[in-house]
Amino acid sequence: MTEPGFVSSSTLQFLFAGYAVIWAALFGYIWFLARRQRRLEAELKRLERAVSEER
Amino acid sequence: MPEAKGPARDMTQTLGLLAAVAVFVALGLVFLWVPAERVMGDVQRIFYFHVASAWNAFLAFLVVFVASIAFLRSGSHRWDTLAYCSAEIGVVFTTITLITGPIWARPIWNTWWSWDPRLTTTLILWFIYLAYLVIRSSAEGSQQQSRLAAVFGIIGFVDVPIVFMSTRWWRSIHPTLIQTDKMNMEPSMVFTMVFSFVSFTILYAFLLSYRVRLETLAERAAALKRDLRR
Repeated sequence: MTEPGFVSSSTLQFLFAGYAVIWAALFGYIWFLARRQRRLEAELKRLERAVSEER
Repeated sequence: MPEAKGPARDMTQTLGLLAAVAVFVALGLVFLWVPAERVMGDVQRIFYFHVASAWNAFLAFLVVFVASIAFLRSGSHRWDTLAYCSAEIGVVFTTITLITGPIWARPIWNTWWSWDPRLTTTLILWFIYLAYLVIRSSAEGSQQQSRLAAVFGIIGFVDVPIVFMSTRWWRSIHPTLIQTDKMNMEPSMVFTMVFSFVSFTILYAFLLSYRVRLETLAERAAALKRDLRR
């Protein structure tokens, strides 16, 4: 049993890995959404121009 | 440019800022304030965001459940969109839960995975909502396919209370943090856990708002394409 505040170096790598996974998943998902937003906004701009030209 | 400015975008940005601040404060509490757990040591700090991720997954699937019922009752496409976006976010948080759990378990249980009731029912939950996403993403405007996905979203939610109750109903090695009358932690740990829940709930609200806005943009683009084809 460890004392409160005891730093167990053998488990620190797991702690690091756990939080690395959390941040990779969250930032990865937000990056995926941001990329999709840029593509959609560009596509909408193009489509609206095409529609207004047709009219 | 449509959607470049507007209340929806403002709300998403405000929620994003709030979520960033709240998660940053939660990280401070987890790493700088709360003491290490006596038995598990520092690796227990994974729990604060692991449990908050599981909470977000449950919340996301509850939204799928409610929105799917509302969609079947009203036929309004907005509910279908809300359910679809929430399911996607729920799957992201279930994935985080399923990966961080074994990372915690390896030094504590001396194994990456055990077919424990909590772990098994959570894995089933992940598969259920992956299947929901496959069904719903193939809808492409088909009302019938959306309705099928909604039925799946409603039935799939049955697994959420099973996941939550699994450690109480069956013999499980997974820790039960929340009991009927108390939490099995000291007060500073309870405070950090609750704060992590709150910060992740704001993060969920931000992601849902962002994802719904993108879906609305995609639907507008699809409508313009149809206009051009006529």
